[in-house]
Amino acid sequence: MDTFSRIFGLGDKDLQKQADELLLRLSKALQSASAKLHVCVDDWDDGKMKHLDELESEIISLEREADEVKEELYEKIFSKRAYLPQQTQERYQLVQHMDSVVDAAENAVRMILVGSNFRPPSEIKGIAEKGWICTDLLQDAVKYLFTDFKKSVEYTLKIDRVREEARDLSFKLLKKLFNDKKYSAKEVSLFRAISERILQVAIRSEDTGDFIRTLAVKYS
Amino acid sequence: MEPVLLGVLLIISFMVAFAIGSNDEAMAPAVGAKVFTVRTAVAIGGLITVLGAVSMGGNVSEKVGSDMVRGLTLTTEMVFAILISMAIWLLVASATRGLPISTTQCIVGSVIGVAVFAPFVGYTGWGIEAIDWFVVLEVFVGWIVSPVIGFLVAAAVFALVRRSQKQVQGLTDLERQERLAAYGLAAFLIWTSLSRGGNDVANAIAPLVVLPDFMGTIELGFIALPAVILPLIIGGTGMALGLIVVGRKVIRTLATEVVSLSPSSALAASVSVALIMFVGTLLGLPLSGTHVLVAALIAVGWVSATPVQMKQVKDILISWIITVPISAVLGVAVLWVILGFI
Repeated sequence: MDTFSRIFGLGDKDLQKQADELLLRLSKALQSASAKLHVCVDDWDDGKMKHLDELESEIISLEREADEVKEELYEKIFSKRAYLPQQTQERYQLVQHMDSVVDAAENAVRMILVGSNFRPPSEIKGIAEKGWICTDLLQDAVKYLFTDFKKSVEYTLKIDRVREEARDLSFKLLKKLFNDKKYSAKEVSLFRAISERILQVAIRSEDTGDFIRTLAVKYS
Repeated sequence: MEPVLLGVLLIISFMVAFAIGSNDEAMAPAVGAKVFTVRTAVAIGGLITVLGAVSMGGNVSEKVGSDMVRGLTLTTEMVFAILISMAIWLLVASATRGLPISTTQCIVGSVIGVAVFAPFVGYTGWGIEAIDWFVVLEVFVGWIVSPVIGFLVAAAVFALVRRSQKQVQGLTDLERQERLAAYGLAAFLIWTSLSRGGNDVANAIAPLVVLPDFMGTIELGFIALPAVILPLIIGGTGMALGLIVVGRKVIRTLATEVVSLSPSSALAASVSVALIMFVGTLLGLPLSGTHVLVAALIAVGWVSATPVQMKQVKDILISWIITVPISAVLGVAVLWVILGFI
């Protein structure tokens, strides 16, 4: 069937195997970037400043790796008709969504390094933790999308709930920043920018989860 | 027959076949489901059409419009007028807007036009009364019933397919199912094209197969072939070229401008059309394959909650409505021109 598949563009098994491996790599990069972001915020909060630069460069490397995986998937797999066109389109959209989570982690860590000399409010640590949980759940949602729609949907619903908790924390932080006189205008502006960027990790995880749920609902 | 006249007849048959091939095709669902590209579809469709015409066309006898005229036989000029006018309208519909129209509708329209006009050019016994209006009514009812049946059957078939698809566990299972549907669709449409080639070529070469020149055998070295192979090859090649040169426009209309298709929905629509046409033939119902196909595509789109491009559907419906009167007028005009040459 393989030769037949190649002639009519119905999918090459070797390419599909490569695509599965690349998707797994992207999934790991996503989770790893978010976990490192969480560690980075923890260290910043605890005043352990010496590893922050190292963590930043590791997250940036992960983001580059995710971009490479995305390019490789597009150039070597999707454009070679490894799957039927509808399936290619859906997988590509999934990859784009996943990559956007890693991008968000990179943006967040860069912003943290900008303001690393200031001591962060505790809520920022909480938001980073929620983001990390979201990506952890997302990794499972992606995994189950291919084998069990029901479980996959369950994980995406969990992501929604955790993202809501992250949003609540973010508003709690804003309330604190704008009402507590101990924060200067510079600090308000800085912590707001950092928290919004960290929150983006959870938001983009939720967007990816929504896309996964759309696929699962469409096909189940 | 004189070689020049025979050559003219072969050229006309080729043109008629070209026109039929440009409009009456089977590959659109596979292109819509993106199992084939348009280029692959017309290449495979063209090849299979020639094979179908040569291998199966000899067994199909076609009496162009003869059952619509009471106790009368259409003259050769009339048959050519009918075929040429059909070819003109098929080509206009295909080349300008890529609209899929019914070959039968073209024939019915031009037979009516030619039969009604015949007394004015000296044919006795013809006119409105020569037409078997009961047969015409039967055919008209068939055109109205065809899309309704096509819609209902395709919707039911695809609803069943969707129910089975709901049992899949994950994307991997679903993709496997869709891949199987894609293979099934490719095989099914190749088979459909083969029989379509055999059936459709009969319309194009009908006036030729009764000629004594094509009744015996032709010797090619030590191989003796039935002489009818020549018009079959010409008809098959004409249809194949019609599909390749002009037919891609009709394929695009049906494949992409009515509704979005997946391999499973395209397979459900194609199987429904074949099923309806098979049962219709068994029961003697005058159903139109084109009407059934368009309705089936809309039905699978409706079941899968995919938006149906209603503007395109409206254009197709208008083309169906105007096909009969236009073919009638063209039939009259072409007969008048032919008689002017004789």
